[in-house]
Formats: sequence, C-alpha cells, structure tokens
Amino acid sequence: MVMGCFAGLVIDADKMLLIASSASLAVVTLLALKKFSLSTKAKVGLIYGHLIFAFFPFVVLTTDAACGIACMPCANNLANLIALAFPTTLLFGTMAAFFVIPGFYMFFSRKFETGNAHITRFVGRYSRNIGIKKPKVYIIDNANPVAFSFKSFKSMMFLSAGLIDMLGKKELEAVILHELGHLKRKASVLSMSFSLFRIFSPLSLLARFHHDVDGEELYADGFAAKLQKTERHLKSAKRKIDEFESSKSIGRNQ
Amino acid sequence: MVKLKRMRLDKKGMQTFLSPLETDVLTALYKLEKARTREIHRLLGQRRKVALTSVAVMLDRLHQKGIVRRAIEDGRGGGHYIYSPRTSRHEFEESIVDDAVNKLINSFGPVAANYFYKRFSKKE
Repeated sequence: MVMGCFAGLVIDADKMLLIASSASLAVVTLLALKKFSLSTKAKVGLIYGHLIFAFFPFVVLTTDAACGIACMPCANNLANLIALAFPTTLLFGTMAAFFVIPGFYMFFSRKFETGNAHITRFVGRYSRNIGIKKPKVYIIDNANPVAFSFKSFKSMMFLSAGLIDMLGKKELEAVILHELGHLKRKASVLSMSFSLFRIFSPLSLLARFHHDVDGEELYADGFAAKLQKTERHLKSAKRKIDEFESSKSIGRNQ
Repeated sequence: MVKLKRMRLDKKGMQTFLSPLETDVLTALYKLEKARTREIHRLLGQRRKVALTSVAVMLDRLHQKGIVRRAIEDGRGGGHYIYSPRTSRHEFEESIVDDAVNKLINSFGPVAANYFYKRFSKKE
C-alpha cells in the first residue's frame, strides 16, 4: 500500500512530554537571555539553544510524519525520532547561522570588493592594531548611507556607495572604526543571531532585546572615538546620515 | 522615457515635472555632464545654500525616475557614484511634452486629437 503505513500523526503521552520539555527549555533559555548579563558568546549560545528547543518538537513531528509516509520503522518510535530529529535541527540551526543571513547579503545584493587603497590600508592597519583578522570590505550599490559588518566563516564589512558619497575622509574612517569595534566584540554574530531569533522564534514577540543592540552600538561608538581620540568625526557622520533621512521628504509632493 | 505622475502647470520648464531642487541638481548635472555628488554640491553651493545630503537624495530620486544613470567608480577616493544624465536636456524636455500630450489623448480621446488637429492646422 502506498499511503497505508501513515495513519496520521499520533501524539501520545511520550511525545507530549517531549514537546512540553522542549518548549520549557526554549522558555528557560529565553528567560536566561533576558535576565542575566552575559558575554556575547553566551548570548549567542542561548539564542541558538532557544531556537533549537523551539523548533525541535516541529522537526520531531515532521520526521514522524515522513517516517510514516515512507513506511519506515522510525514512525511512532520516539528514540528513533529523537535520533533523527536532533541532528536535523542542529544542522538547520547551523545553516541558518552561517549561511542564510551572510548568504543573503553575499548573493542578493549588488556589491564588489573595494579596490580603494586608502580604505583597505586603513582597515588592514587597524585590524592588526586591535588584533582581529582583516575583514574584506565590500561596496554595495545603495544610495542610502549604510554600513554593517559580520563574521561567519570570514569577516566582512559592507559600506554603501551612498555613504562614501556623503562622508568626508575622517568621517568615513570613524564609521569603519565603529564597524571594526563590532567585529572585535563579535557583535555582528550577536545581532545576526537576534535577527534569526526575531524571524524564527514564536516567542520573540514576548521579549525585546533593544538594550543589547543599543549597548553594542554605544560600545562601537566609544571604540571609534577612542581610536580617533575624538568623537567629532563620528558625530558629524551620524548627523549627515540623519540629515539624509530627513532630506528624503523634501519636495516629495512634486 | 519620462512617465509623468503629476504636472504643475503654474511652473515653467522642467519644474512642471520636477521639484525646484531636483531641477537645480539636474541642471547642474547637464552642465557637468558626468559628476560626483560633491561636485554637483560644489557647483550648486556657488549660488545657494544646500546640504550635500539633500543633493544626494535628489540624485537618488532622479535615478529612481530614470532621468539620470549612475555607476560606482572604485577610484582613489573609494566606491562612490558617478552620475550622468540619461539623455540630452532637449530630449528630456521633449519626452515630458510627449508624455503630457499622450496623457491628454488617452484621457480625452478624439476630442483631444481633434483639438490638436484644429489648433495646428490653423497655424499652417
């Protein structure tokens, strides 16, 4: 029989216990994330722990249905299901962390690695000074003033052409130092993880983590100001970015 | 080329279609033919006070409207945009007139076509 093995999803007491335990662990990791002041590494670990526990029951039930349809002995066998579902969840979690978000920026935005000698020399010099691996610097085809960076397998920094258009040399250096500050603290991994958490976790609506992201921004600002020995350039760069946003409404009704 | 959304008949020339600052930026670009945002800003700054960021926004808007083209030049100063007009000023103004006439014909059909025929045959 083609569909004969699949008699619908049976959620027995064992599966209910598994779902409840997994959901409880997802809540516990979320509370720990919110409650304690932790290192970046610990926060990232908790975010992925939370995502894995939140998704685990869905993966178990999907695997159960797939085993049933394929007439495999893993159907309705909890030990087998866990053995199959756990590595699958881990695999998808890792793929999301290391490929989905960086891949989105790498493959779906028009960008190229800059050949600008000043930027590459500046990034190289300061990366050495602060003891991090030199990131590749990409220019993205975007008129909005945008700068961001992240680290998965390699460090990458993205600067928009619009940002370079409107900032002076020192202001651009301040923005680059701000991004290097993020890379040094591995904050990009944290903000990327929070993005994944907001997109995929059903519990993300219950928790807000603005203070973590704001704290990282303040750290990166302080980092740039310390290296430049003034916060003048960073402030002026931020003012121009704000001005760009407010200029967007000029003559809109024409 | 140009698709008119709204036409301001109380204004003259390109301002019937563009905002005053967009018009100034485009006029400066016609003069320079090919320029960076800050070069256009410098030229405009000789006549009026305008922020570099406002010029950048206007150029982006003109690009979105398909009036100017841009390319990233990864030169010594680093991946900035170089803007240039898509057509000559004459061709651009002609396309505004063409679109306006087409819209009148589409909206009023034979009435508009008849009117144009009578109006221009009278002058011959």
